[in-house]
Amino acid sequence: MNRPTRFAFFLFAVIGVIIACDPKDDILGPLSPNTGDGLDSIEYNPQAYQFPQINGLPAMQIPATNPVTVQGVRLGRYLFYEKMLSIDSSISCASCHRQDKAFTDGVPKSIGVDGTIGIRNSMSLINIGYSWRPNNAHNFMWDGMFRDLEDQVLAPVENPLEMKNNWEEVERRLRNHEHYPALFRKAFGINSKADITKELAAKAISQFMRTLNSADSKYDSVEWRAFNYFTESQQRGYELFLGDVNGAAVTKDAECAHCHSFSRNFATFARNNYTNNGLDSAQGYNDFIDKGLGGVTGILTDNGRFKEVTLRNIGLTAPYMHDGRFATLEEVLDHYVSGGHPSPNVGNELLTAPTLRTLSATDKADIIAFLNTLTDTSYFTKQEWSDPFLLPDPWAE
Amino acid sequence: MKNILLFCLALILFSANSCKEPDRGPKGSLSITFKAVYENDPLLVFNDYLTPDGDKLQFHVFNFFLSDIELIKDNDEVVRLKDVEYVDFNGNTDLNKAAAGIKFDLSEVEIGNYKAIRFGIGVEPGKNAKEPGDFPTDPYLGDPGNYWSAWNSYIFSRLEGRIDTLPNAAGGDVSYLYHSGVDGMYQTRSFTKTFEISSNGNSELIFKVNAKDIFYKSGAEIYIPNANVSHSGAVGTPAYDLARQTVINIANAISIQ
Ligand code: HEC
Ligand code: HEC
Repeated sequence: MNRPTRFAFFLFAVIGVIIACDPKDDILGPLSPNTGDGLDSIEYNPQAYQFPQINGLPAMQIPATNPVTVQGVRLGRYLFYEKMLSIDSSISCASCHRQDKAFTDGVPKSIGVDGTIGIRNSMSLINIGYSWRPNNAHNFMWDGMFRDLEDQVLAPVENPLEMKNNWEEVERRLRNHEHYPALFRKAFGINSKADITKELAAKAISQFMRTLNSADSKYDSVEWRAFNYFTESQQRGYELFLGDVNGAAVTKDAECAHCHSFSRNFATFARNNYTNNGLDSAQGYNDFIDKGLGGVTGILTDNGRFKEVTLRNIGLTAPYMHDGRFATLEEVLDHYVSGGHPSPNVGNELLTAPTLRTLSATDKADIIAFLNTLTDTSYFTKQEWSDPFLLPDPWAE
Repeated sequence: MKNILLFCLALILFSANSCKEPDRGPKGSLSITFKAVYENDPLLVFNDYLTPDGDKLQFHVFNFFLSDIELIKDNDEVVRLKDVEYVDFNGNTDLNKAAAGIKFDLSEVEIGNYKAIRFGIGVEPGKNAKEPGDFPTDPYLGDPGNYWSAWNSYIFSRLEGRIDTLPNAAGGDVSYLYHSGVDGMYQTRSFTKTFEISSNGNSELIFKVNAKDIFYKSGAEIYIPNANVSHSGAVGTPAYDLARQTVINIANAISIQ
């Protein structure tokens, strides 16, 4: 055995040690025989993505099976904006999740291929990675259909109301593409085009979505920067939103923060549980038009429950609720202050809020003033999140 | 060549070994189960229970933090099992689940003879001084939904539901919500029980939480329609006293089987 070979063995063993000691380190994709398409000549050297530290957002929990890498995020960004994912190459994820609308689409119910109107309102993807709680079976979608982002991503492509495609076709398109095989190689170490799978595509898109984190609103500057203050109306709205500020009894509060909850260093304004906020009247559990969580779990008392979504960027994501029924925040506030519609499982936070129904027009306006302080436009022009196909040379390194 | 292979093998073995936790004596397993009941029946959420006053009572949300779960050995040595756990009966949607209870499996418990178990209900003051963002990987402390920024405290316990004081007539429905929090409300309890943890056996401790006792235990009754809501509040206020009473009553509704 010559020296270089010995050295290679040594290196191999050392790498073995490192890998064996880091259970998270399984970014290596499937290893398959080289089928002669030359992919394995492309360097596979993924770098861990460095999440920027953001005041108000803690370190994100990420599934060990999909560590975020620079190369994975890069691939994910292309796929997120890739219209080939839809049957007629007319829409991409971004068609319903637009950067300048906190990744929503501005219509009550999303519009898929051929102008087909869907059944629900698009959801913001800002800070979406924080919706993942490993212990929870229901983390994503209005009805909690998915535990993991990686599974969620697979759905729109085959949804007949959305991209109307099938993954076999998408895999075929990606394998035959001029650029994607190399990007998959760099992200996942595949050796052949045949190794491009929907699972890897979903991993990449999920990695990209986990980087869509931002907390740079007026609220954040008041919380974290010196000499930044709410206006009087915003401050009142904040106190009403929170309820018994600093434990002191108050004569009036709205107690929104029970469900749109936050702490200073985990300020997502979402509890991400599933509750019924009184949108529809229902005599019994079977009378909900959209069963929401119950449609997924089959549990009767889950009917009519929907995700307690984030209120960050709420000023950008009209219209509101799972079916986009409210055009404005004024309508949302009118709904809550009216007490909503009766049904057997309306959230007790709403039913017991002592003064919610007595809020005046000024109170409502103040709460809206506060909600608008959650608007963050800092990422509107963020290059890394934008459509790469709009660049003069989309595939440039 | 042979040497090199041996060397590699040695390295690999070494690497596999180097990842193990240091060994601290033989270990056994223990499961701890919490079962919610209403008197003798498994407690179901959204189910009607008849109260001693003839009212119909429903539980919709019932959960609480456990802190500093510790076992006491016969020789008074204290064995820490877990810093924090969460007992959540919201999943009691059918009799099977309710009867099974909430089970925590612990596989790395020091073997030996034990005489007691103790824990706190709520979040102990040290951790309660922190916030969800300080516990990014803890499923319960790291969840902003379990934190109430207005008090700078975790929500120690939640009890929510509805009572119908006129079960056979229209009206009389009152929704209730009691959330306890802030340091003065933290409850500790100790339960005497002799048991052994051995390296081959599966020891089990079962706790019953009698939800009826929370509202109707004599001397500590909470009559819901009189004050149907409290999220704690400032010390000395009726809201504080009421929320504190709910967490005290939860602690006292727990018994070991
Ligand atoms: C036709 C419009 C449309 C397209 C295309 C689309 N989405 Fe969505 N997206 C929606 C709607 C509507 C919802 C809410 C659906 C529901 O709850 O039933 C949603 C929900 C989501 C959620 C869950 C958010 C949360 O808070 O739980 C994620 C994540 C997501 N989409 C990502 C994607 C990705 C990735 C793609 C591309 C592969 C994509 N979407 C394509 C409309 C669309
Ligand atoms: C009981 C829990 C609960 C409380 C309390 C609550 N909400 Fe909500 N909120 C929800 C749920 C659940 C949804 C989603 C409902 C749906 O679409 O079916 C929601 C949706 C919203 C939306 C629309 C979000 C979107 O992206 O479309 C806004 C805005 C909102 N709430 C504001 C408030 C305000 C302001 C308050 C206080 C007055 C409040 N909420 C109190 C549970 C709650």
